[in-house]
Amino acid sequence: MQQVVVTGLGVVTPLGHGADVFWPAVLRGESAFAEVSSFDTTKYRIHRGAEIATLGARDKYLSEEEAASMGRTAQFALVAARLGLRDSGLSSLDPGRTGVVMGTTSGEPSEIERFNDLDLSGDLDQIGGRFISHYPCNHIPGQLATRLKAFGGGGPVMLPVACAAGNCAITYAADLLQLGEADVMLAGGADSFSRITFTGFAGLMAIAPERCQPFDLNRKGMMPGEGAAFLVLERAEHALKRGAKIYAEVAGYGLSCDAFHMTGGDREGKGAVRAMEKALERSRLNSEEIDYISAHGTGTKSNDLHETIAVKKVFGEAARKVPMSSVKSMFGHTMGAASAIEAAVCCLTIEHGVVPPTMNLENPDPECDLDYVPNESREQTVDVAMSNAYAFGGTNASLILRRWLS
Amino acid sequence: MKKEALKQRIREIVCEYGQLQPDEVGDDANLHTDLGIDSLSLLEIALRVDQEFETDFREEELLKMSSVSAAAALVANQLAVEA
Amino acid sequence: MAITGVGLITALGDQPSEVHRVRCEGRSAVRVLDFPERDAKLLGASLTDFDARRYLGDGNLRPLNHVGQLAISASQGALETAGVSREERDVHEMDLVLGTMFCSAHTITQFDRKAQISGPKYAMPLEFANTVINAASGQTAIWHNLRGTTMTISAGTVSGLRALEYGARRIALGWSDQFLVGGVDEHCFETSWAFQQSGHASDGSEEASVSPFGTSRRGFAPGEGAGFLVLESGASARRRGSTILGTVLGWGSGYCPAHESETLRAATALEAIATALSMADCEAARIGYLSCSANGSIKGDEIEARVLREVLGDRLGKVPVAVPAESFGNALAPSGIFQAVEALETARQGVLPPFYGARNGNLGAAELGLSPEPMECAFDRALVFSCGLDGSVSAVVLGINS
Repeated sequence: MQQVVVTGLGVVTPLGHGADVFWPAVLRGESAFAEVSSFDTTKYRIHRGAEIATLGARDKYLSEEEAASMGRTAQFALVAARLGLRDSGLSSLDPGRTGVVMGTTSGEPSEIERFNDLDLSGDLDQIGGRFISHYPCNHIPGQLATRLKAFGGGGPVMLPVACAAGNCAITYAADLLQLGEADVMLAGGADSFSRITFTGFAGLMAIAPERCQPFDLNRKGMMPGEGAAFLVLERAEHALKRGAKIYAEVAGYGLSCDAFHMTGGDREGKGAVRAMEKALERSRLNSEEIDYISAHGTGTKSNDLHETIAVKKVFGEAARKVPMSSVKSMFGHTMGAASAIEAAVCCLTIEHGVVPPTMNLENPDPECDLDYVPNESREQTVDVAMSNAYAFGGTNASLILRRWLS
Repeated sequence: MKKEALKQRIREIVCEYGQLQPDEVGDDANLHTDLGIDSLSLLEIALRVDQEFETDFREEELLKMSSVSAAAALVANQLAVEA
Repeated sequence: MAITGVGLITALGDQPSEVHRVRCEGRSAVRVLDFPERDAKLLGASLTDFDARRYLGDGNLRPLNHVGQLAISASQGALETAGVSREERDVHEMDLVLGTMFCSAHTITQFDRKAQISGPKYAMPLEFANTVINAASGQTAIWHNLRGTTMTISAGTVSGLRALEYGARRIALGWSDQFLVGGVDEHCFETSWAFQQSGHASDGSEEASVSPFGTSRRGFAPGEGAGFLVLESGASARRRGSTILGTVLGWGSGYCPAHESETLRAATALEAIATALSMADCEAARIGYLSCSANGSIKGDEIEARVLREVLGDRLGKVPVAVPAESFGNALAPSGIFQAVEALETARQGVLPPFYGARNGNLGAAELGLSPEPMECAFDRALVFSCGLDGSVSAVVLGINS
């Protein structure tokens, strides 16, 4: 099996855009939680989230025409993809050999909101062509493929696997690269803040009032966020041939499904366990060889508990020694972007030898008693990182990234 | 509304959401531990009761509807206070 | 690799033989649908008497929305015909990939609408769980205890064929030996209205039918349904003693943005077809049957006509060509699966369903040599292709067992 490596990263997050801005903010433990401003939250019990206020200086990665004609999720995705490409040093792309695959939870929910706003004001005959062109979620990778001229790998595709989407996109890209169906793959995920997602999670009573506190005794839930991230993936020989910087190798991954409940995980974490075990098996690694785990760590009572149980089952005694942190503690749950951002985080831990903290961990939960790197980032050599993601509908995806050794 | 009628209506809602027969739903049976209704369906039952009786409960109160009796008591209390 | 199971929920029936018979009678599910509360009449091909209980028994259907019920019902048929029992799935992880263009567009629109009208407090949690685009695959996995890979793939109307490709690829790479692959999409006012308003769908004000390849075609009729196949590696099929209904020999896909010319878009489709033929080690001349997704779409049908002419060359009019969307409407994601199943059933029955539009003076059909009467046929290589309205294209080469 050909080795697949990461040669570029691009992130658009509530803590900043581009690894050069995002990574220092993560290591400083900054918080992106604030009062929601994109819609009126008066009728909700909770009012905070992690929105992206502006693209700031990175808005130069989006033309005026693109900003005007593309939906919010698509804009984030395009900027993240361009940042990734810039980082990879690829100056030109072969359109037939470069592909785009990404994930999302909701795609462009603003189009649903627009449909209803028009409908409720009696103006549905003004819907025009936009709903059909912009709402089907593969419109977003289609936009990226069109604007970046990347039509390879069988064409752009969306894997709308909710919170596990980014990891799934990376596995899809790895498959295509190993089969030689593409030479460069952009794999990532994106989602944007919306009243629909906010309402949905609020209705599940899953949103915390102030901030996200993964693994804390008094954790009250997740915080909705938004963003995008793309990794540039190539076969190792292709990257080496052009002298690319290599962040890490995709050592292996594991996919499983709980087949239990749409929103709640199986209490014993069996599905999560299988995903991690498969990832280790395929990477030909023992659990002791994992130096860092990027947790799904949403901050809900149940996820953090079940995730801890699952990690203990897979890692045994080593569970207490491996640092496991949740960056969602800083910028919330970016949904379809989450595992893509977290894969980028894993690459950065390998590169810089520092692991990010789980912020807001003030009162340890006796049932969550692992090393979550509380409140302060920590210098630590990381050769192998594991990233876990668990989605609505029960899909579990574990990804292992390993330092590239030539 | 009479307490019995209240319980009856709440029982109907529980049966609909929990896919149960009325004689399976005792007044004091715990909806989750005795009748096996999952947490999301419990929330839906509570919201439906809240909407139907226009009680405008807070979240903490919605989560207290552990049985038909408990739900009926909460509703009766709320409506009496409003009256 | 082998196709060992088929499950369908279509507007023409839920058995391949029944659907084939209806198609041979020249019947169509396309009709004018009335939405009185909306003061709208739209052309469509929705299911008329679907009752999930027929397939799923007395289980708790409450958590399922319509699209979830379609997916579960059709995948059940595929698992049953492949002989993959519940007991087997409890022991051996089964993989699933589901293609969908919209999944729960209706559910998410209603969810937001109710929240806007009554306030966010009354947004129902289980309804939210069904709004996500992977809801149907999640529900399917739960119902059938599918604990392996559970993937959802979205590539517009070719999503079903992309799902087939995904499963086939995973088997070819050796990650899996058995995959449940398919597509589902539902019919609803929201998407039908949007299709019609965007100019893709015909409004049915002049006729209650669609006119694929017709010179006066005015768009497609949105349909719905679900179609699933069980794909197995050759080794797995032999080990299980499975009945092999057909084989997937090759696949190819591509993308050309929808705004590009018919010429460029057809070229992309031809490249995808070439990839599929090459993988199948099959020359175009060996193809004995084609199935296209032409559905009355103004631009789409032109693209597909060019593809047919190019692939068949001077065999145009002599090789059976199927146009299932004439009867199904544009069923969106599952269309490609319906096309594949029809290819296998047509080979089995030895009869090509007619293109009845040819009886009504459809000049385009005449030029392409589409027969207005059922025709006897025999072939061992079928090419199924689809050009989606968003510019995605997919092609699959199937081998027919003799």
